[in-house]
Amino acid sequence: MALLDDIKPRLGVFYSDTNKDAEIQGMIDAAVEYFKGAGWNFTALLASLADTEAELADDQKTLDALKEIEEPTTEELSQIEVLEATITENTAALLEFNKQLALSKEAVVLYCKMAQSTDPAQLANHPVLTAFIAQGRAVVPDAEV
Amino acid sequence: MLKFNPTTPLKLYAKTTSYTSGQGEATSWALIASGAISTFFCEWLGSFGDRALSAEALGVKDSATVRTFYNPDIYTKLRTVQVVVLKNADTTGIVAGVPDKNNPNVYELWGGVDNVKEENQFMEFRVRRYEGL
Repeated sequence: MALLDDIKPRLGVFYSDTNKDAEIQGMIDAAVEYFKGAGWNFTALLASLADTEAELADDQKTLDALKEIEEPTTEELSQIEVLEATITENTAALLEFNKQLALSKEAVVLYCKMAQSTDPAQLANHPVLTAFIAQGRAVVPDAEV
Repeated sequence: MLKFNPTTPLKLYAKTTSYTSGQGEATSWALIASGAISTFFCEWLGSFGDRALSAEALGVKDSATVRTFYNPDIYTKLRTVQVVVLKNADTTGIVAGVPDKNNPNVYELWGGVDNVKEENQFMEFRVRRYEGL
């Protein structure tokens, strides 16, 4: 979901529609698989990003509920403190994940823009895409050495 | 694939009318928003030369071509009701709830809107200066 929200505006989609969202999510999934096949695997990073985001949302919800209590007990107060610390930590982690994923997101956007084209002749490996893959690859294949 | 560079922000207002029995028709202008977003970026191409001259023959002094991303909320409004376009998202374009005809950034749709190739990806339309008609 997180990636979808980042990619959509870059493709000029500023509205929410179930079918359109599903279409773009499909393109994103394909892009991630495509890069995986090319030796650039960031699925683990994406999973950690999604986990952190879910955790953050959960914590925020619990915190909001706790803060609404008019006369909190000492236990609840300490719970608030712990939650606030976790939220700060997770926000920092999220920033770090997003930083690490910056290039990957850009590559997914480029892939999606190519996939959006209805002209099959334009579906060629874009040189910038190839450059992204070369940069993102952890291991350089022997053939290139 | 349409190649364009959307750099000009727009705000769009749609005319809505309601009828109250005994009081007649009431008109108001409402900002078009898509979820939380109400500023949309487009490529703004002004008119000059023969195009401007033929527009002038029709009494249109100022017109432009707008290319932007498809958005169902905007597209429906452009197809159904009168819409004014505020170039550069000029917030001074609406005065007391009514488009200001003396503001050079206020335009209205001129000659329909095209959902390019019916792909739901891009829209193209032309606008002319709003003259309060």
